[in-house]
Amino acid sequence: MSSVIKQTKVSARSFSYSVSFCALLFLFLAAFSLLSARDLGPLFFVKLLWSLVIAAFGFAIIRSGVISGYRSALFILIAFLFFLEFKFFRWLSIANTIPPYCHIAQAPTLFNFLHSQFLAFTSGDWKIWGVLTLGFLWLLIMFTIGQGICSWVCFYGGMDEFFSKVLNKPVIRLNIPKKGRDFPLAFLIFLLIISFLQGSPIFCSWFCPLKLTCAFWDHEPTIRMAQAVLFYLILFGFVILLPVLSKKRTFCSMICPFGALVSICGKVSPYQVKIDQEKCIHCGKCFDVCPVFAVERKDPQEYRISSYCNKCGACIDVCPVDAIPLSAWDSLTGWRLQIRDIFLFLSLLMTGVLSSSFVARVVLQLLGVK
Amino acid sequence: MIRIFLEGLVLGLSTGAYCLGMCFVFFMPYLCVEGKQNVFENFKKIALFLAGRLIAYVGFALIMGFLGVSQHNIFNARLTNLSLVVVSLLMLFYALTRHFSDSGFCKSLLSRSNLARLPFFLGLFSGLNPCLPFLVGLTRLWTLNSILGGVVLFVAFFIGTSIYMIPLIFVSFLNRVERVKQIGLFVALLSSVWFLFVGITGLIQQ
Repeated sequence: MSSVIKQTKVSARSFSYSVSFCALLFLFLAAFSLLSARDLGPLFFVKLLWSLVIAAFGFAIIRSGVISGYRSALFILIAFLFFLEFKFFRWLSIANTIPPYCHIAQAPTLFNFLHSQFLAFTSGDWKIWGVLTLGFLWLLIMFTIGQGICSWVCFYGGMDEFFSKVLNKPVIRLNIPKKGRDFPLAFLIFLLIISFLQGSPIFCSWFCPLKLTCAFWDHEPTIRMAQAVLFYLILFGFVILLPVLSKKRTFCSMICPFGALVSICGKVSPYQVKIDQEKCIHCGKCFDVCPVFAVERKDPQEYRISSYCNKCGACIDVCPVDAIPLSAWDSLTGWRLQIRDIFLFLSLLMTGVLSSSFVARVVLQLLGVK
Repeated sequence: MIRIFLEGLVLGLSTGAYCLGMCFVFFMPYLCVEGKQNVFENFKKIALFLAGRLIAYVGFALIMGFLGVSQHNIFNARLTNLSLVVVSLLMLFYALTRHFSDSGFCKSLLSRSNLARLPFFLGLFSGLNPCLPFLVGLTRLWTLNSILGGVVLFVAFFIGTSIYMIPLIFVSFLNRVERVKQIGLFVALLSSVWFLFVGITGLIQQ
């Protein structure tokens, strides 16, 4: 068995290949930094520095062939900087910045958003039609990394990931039955209808444990109390306690409506993580290590990866026989191409582009540069 | 009368999408679980639901007409919140017994209760919910000063909004996939708990 294992671990790349990968990634990110910073001021140089950090992570992933560990470190670092900028700015005496339009909030208010776009379009305000920018970005992400957004880009998921990495071994073995894994999807449907019906983001005011602002608290004391109870229950239960004890991303996999939406829309992404049934030795390591309960055990002899897979790479790294490749176009053309490096490039590029705005700002603010 | 009828119809047609939201949240999960792969069977269920709504609208218009404008505030707020609590409890009972249908207790409860009649009661009590179109219709009702006019307004409103229910006939075809049934049950459970909370807080705050 050990000889089989040694022979099949082939994901690490040569030094020159890794350097080329890293340089190309840096080049793309540097070009974007120049475009977004607009001049060669301090913002540009910090963005350039951040591009270098992302490229370094890219080098480490490609050179070592290990995705999950480095991805996780980058993911947590971005989440930490995100919350520093938008949530904990008071603690560090840095300037207050307006929180970005939350992508988790987008999912349960999708009907409201489409309705407002429809009204804008029909009233002649199509020039400020938000769907042109947000919709394009959404489509771009879905057609490229798909569900990978949840494990590479999402600034909120990084918190869940951080707490799931606190302990070395799980204290409790948490497992969600297949039926229960669909709860976020039902939650999303419920929120879509209720938010549209009440004309307000119900998820943000009642269920979101990662609120960036206090704008969603109700004015009525009893209602506000109920909101606070629910907020702390979900925060301590699903973002802190359960991830620490089980080493699973419980908020992402049991509650997050964005993850549910992405699990459907992300199917358009050509990249997929699949278990090669012929190679699989049924050791169950992928099942144990998956942080979002996306590996289904049909019977002890069969494991499958569901549409809830975030492409975090944990199962790919842990598989002793490399039976879980990151491949593409299997369902569309019947061809199965090993294009893991392209996926990794795109994921790191998206991560770099989307995080560069707030990371550069928070660094400048911490350095006291105006 | 024709003008009032047209007013109600246009009101129903223009605001029916919101109205559908309120009915969707209670009726869609039920159809996802109980719906059959047969248009006629589904039509019967939707007809029962619509009958419940029609009775709710007409009954409401009549009662409001008899009581008059002076009573509308107290009566309206309590009635709508009470109906919300009732429909939520109905849905909660249904979702829980269906979800735990493997247990002996739930199985006996399910066998004793007639689920075929549930759409009628869902329609009856969700028809009185304080959704936006309903409140607009109610505002117009106060200015009519006519019992018959109120009934005509709400019947026309019912016809206008019912057109939006037609796609519901096809919802149940989704439940060919077992997963859809389970998701439907979860939605029913979430909706019932949410509206139970809304209804109870509404009653307390009065």
